[in-house]
Amino acid sequence: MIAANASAPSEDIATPAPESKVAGVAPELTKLLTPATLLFSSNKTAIPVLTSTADSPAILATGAVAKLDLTSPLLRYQLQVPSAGKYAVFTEHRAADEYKLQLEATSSTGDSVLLPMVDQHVFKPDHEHDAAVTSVGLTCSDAFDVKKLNEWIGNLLRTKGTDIYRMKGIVNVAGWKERFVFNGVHMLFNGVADRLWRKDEVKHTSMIFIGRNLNRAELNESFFTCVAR
Amino acid sequence: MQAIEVDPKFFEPEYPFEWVGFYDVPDVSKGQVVTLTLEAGMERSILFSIGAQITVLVWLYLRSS
Repeated sequence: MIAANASAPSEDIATPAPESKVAGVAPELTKLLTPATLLFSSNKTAIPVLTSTADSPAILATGAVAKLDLTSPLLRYQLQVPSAGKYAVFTEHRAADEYKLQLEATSSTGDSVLLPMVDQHVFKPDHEHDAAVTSVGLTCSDAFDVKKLNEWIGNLLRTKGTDIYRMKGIVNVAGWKERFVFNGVHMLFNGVADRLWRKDEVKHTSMIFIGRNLNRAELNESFFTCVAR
Repeated sequence: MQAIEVDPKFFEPEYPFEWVGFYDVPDVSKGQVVTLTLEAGMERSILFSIGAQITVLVWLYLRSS
């Protein structure tokens, strides 16, 4: 049973992401891209393989990421459903086509009904057959020293720029009333002072890197050297 | 030849996921259970050879219906 990362239903998941518009993507989905990317970059829970239909299916928690072994003889999972509503399932591969992904609701009397997919979107698939391409998400609640941050990003672009396909983030800079937001593709980088932090939001730093041969531990360690002391 | 002719999604950003599906899920407070099923449909050796023996999945709640 896997529910350690379970989270209660929250409207936070739809908090506007740094990207306000993505070509060809519905606004509701655009809001999900950053939280979904961060989840994909977090530690993944390996779902136990079931071998008997008598075993209870593993529970896939809401707001969590799960690693599914497709060689398992039984690919059936119970979904955590905190309340009725609209849900999204993101998958590394094109699960509806390649793996016939389906959702089914079964009543206590055993009656089953297939839940129709109301919408879907297929993303650029180039990453899929290259295991070296990964994403690393970094978050911190402490304020960052802008000088250290500048040096860190500059060094990252010089040394890893060719391997970084895309990066983006929001930074809580010490002494700033505004958020610092940035995005980049390879060695191209753009960062600006964004809107003021709202009084009702917790200042934080959150960034995501997608690239080849990214060293998660090294990025994580160097990231925290930018914290203002 | 333009890159977009070779790859229509050339200008689109890459994400660690390739697909998202949306579903309206009913109230399960009365004992209903919602399950997700997959059919790998491929031999283990083929899955290994194409590097797809593992897939990663994220299940997100969006809003009430």
